[in-house]
Amino acid sequence: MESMSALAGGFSAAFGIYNLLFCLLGCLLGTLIGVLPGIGPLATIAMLLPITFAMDPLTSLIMLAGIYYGAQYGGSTTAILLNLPGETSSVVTCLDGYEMAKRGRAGAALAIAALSSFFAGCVATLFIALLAPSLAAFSMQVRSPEYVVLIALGLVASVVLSRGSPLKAVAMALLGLLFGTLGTDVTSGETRFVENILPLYDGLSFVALALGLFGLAELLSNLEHPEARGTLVGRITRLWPSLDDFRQAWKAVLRGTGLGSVMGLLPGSGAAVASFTSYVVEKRFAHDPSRFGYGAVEGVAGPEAANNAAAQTSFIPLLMLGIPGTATMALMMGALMMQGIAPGSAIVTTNPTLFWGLIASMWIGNLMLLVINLPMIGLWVKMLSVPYRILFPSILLFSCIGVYSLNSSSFDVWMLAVFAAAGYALRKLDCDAAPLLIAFILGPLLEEHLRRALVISRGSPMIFIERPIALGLIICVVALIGLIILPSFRAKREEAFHE
Amino acid sequence: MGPGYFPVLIALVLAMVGLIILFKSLRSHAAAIERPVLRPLVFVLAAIVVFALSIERFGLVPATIAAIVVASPASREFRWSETIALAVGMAAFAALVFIYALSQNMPLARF
Repeated sequence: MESMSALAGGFSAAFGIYNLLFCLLGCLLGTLIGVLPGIGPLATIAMLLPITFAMDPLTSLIMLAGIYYGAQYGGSTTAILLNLPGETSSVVTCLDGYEMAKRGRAGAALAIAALSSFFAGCVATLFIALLAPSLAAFSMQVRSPEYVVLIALGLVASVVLSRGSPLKAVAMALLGLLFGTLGTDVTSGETRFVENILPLYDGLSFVALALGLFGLAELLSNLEHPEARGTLVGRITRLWPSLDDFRQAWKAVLRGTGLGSVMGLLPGSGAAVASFTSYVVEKRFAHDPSRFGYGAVEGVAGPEAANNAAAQTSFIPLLMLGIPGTATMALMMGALMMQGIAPGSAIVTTNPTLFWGLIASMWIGNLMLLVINLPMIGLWVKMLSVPYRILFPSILLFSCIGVYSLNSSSFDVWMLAVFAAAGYALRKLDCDAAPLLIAFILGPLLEEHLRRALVISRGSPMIFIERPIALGLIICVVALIGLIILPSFRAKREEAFHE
Repeated sequence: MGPGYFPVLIALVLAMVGLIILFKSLRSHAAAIERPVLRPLVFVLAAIVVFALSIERFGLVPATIAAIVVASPASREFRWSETIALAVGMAAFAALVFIYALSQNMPLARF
């Protein structure tokens, strides 16, 4: 029960007035960008990173995390009311949520979505608290050789779970690793690939990279397509779901929560994959699968629980092992590193307030979101009437200011333009940029630990198979690679992304 | 194992993967690459460049106005009246938030 008292300590930290305030701010911002299509949590977090630099590490993480899970709530609101998924993780909520709304049950759908998310958030918080001690013990065993293999595992997983051709994803990850080597080599102090460009000595600005490849590339392709406008269905009359809804939903919520909590732990997955999986599972489990797609309550409850649980547990691989599972988590890792905190060295033991404070804030944030969302739904929907032609110049401007203010360097703004163009080209070429960003963040760590491990072993690669944990992890990597090559899995993977 | 060890290793593997992708695409009839749309690309990139050029020389307010005015025509639906209102509003907002509230290190306006 040691972790329970640690969790209590986390609560007392998270209940500090500043932390509560920024938790609320993060949740509000997250809901807002969740509602708005065309801007996601990744771009928002990248834009706000420079501002968090001046804040206390815990406060900044609390706010950034609030944006991430707040976006899951906001995304489902527009999915249900307008058939517009604000985020990828709420695409499946459209299927049955919008159908429920068309049948005059918008209020019930919204309430079910919010309540399942809240329930999943509570369980995920407890799940993390119970899991933390054993994972902390595991991470104490992780030395350079294990870390090399862990990073490799994270990279392979990001390739497996990316969209499109796996070969292209491999190329993206390698490119990310290469970008990561640019700048001054930590071990020898020599510079690489910088010629005489002074601003490059510290390496590429990862905020410019993330905002260009994701935020602005997204903005550019949004501008190509005419604005998608959903049609609002009727007025929301009754918010509270009927007893029947609860009876149908509760099992789906439990399954979704369990599924999401576990899937969030796996590197490479995250909220979107969890919600898709949960929908498929619910359809399989249902007595009458034909109701799905026509307003089945389980089709809203399961995925909503799953995406929220996964959004929360996906912090575990990052905080415990220093392996970000998704592009968004890679940004969180960047935020921590900017603060001089190295995730992976078991934050739980070295900086327990940070870890438990963040976990506690997630529970508080979920409660806030429940209160923010249900009574204020009308207001959020009004936000949608802001046209994209007003929105995109503002997004562009805040991206520029964000990138500039981090190092007061206009060179970084130039790099933003370069990466925006590159990200747009990658989209046209059907290359998913997520492995690139993850590899860019992990690259310098991979190199450092690889060289350290080889120095310990005097150049012999045998060190990776002599150590039992490293060997076990290597087997996982090989199994994952085998999965990609296996034709039957490839077909399944394509099918899953198709749905 | 000097500073070149890791980059060379990665670059070699990347070159190999690139060659495989090249040969695969030459052999199969893959779907054609979607044509880029120039209008958004040109205006958006120009807006970023304008911001980069003006932020240090002229300060936050002029850079904001310039970036918004240059970016807006990227959308076919843009209207001058809206753009000007947005530029002025954003300049005020950016100055308040970034310079007064967050005291970021950048000039407000200088000529």
